[in-house]
Amino acid sequence: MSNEMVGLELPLPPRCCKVITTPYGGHDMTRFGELLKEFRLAGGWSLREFCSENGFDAGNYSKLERGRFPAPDSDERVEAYARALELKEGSDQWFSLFDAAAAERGRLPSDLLDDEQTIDKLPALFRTIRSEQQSGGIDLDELVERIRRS
Amino acid sequence: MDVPFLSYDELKAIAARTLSDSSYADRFPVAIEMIVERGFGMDVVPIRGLQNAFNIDAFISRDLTTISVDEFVLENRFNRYRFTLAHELGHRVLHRDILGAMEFDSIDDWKSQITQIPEREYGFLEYQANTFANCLLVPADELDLRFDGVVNQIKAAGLNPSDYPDECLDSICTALGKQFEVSRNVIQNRLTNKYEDFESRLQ
Repeated sequence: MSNEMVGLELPLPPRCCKVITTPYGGHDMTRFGELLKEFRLAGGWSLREFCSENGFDAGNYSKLERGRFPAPDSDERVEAYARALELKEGSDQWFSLFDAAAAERGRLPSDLLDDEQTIDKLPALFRTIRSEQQSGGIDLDELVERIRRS
Repeated sequence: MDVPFLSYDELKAIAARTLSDSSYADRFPVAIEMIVERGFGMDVVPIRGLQNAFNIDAFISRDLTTISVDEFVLENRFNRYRFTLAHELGHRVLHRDILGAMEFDSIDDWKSQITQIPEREYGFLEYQANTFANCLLVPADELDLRFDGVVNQIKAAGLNPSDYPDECLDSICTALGKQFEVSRNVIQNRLTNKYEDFESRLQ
């Protein structure tokens, strides 16, 4: 329980621009996405709070953080994120975000998780409502499809 | 599937330890979003239509790293969202070994296994996660303190709680629900739990 708690202080990320592999089903999370998440959490914002305060769509922003959406093409958009994250203009953090976005431009992430990645993200538990299952009330294939796209 | 028995007091203690071990022990209301996202390093993944299409508010992934949640609940049902996160975190904290032992070779394998969990065992898992969530979001010391505060307000208004225990309980649940940022039902479940002594304190 406590031994799996993540460190309290997030270190300043190095100015590098590599694509890394993450626990997200082995999907390639990008350095840009990783920085977005690091800076958000370091600023003390939950996903919901941050998106609500800045008018971002939580689903899309989560995809951006997890590398399911590509980094923005325009510096203006990156700047909007940097300002929302309250990064100091001209700071190492500010530049690291722009560098990461620039390094990843042109990358096209897959629209869908593959089978192996999807299996990791399937519900560990599912309500056993046999009557609903038998009557086709819950379409598990459709649920899997939504998870693939999440 | 063998679900070990955990008493109410054990679940309460595990929830208290989870909170005290986090970096957010001194926050009130409980910073469940940050405990999940930063403390446990989990991803929150909003999925549109989860509730409408599947009657699911949220679920924890098989690899225990992700809580997928109905996007509408995340954006519009704050108290429910908080409870949902705490409930799913409960599965991770309490049921790590059980869930970790489940292995799926394919999506079809998952479909066949996931619907075969016996109702009884599933009920145990859900009860434990619900109790954990309740105790995590409503820490015992804060509840004690704030319960007394509301009772004193009622008395200051010239009412004797023992004359109107049901009405007082109702008012207390509403008031404390707002303070703890949970639904009044969460408070009610806690105050009326047979292992707690709050009702007797109204007599």
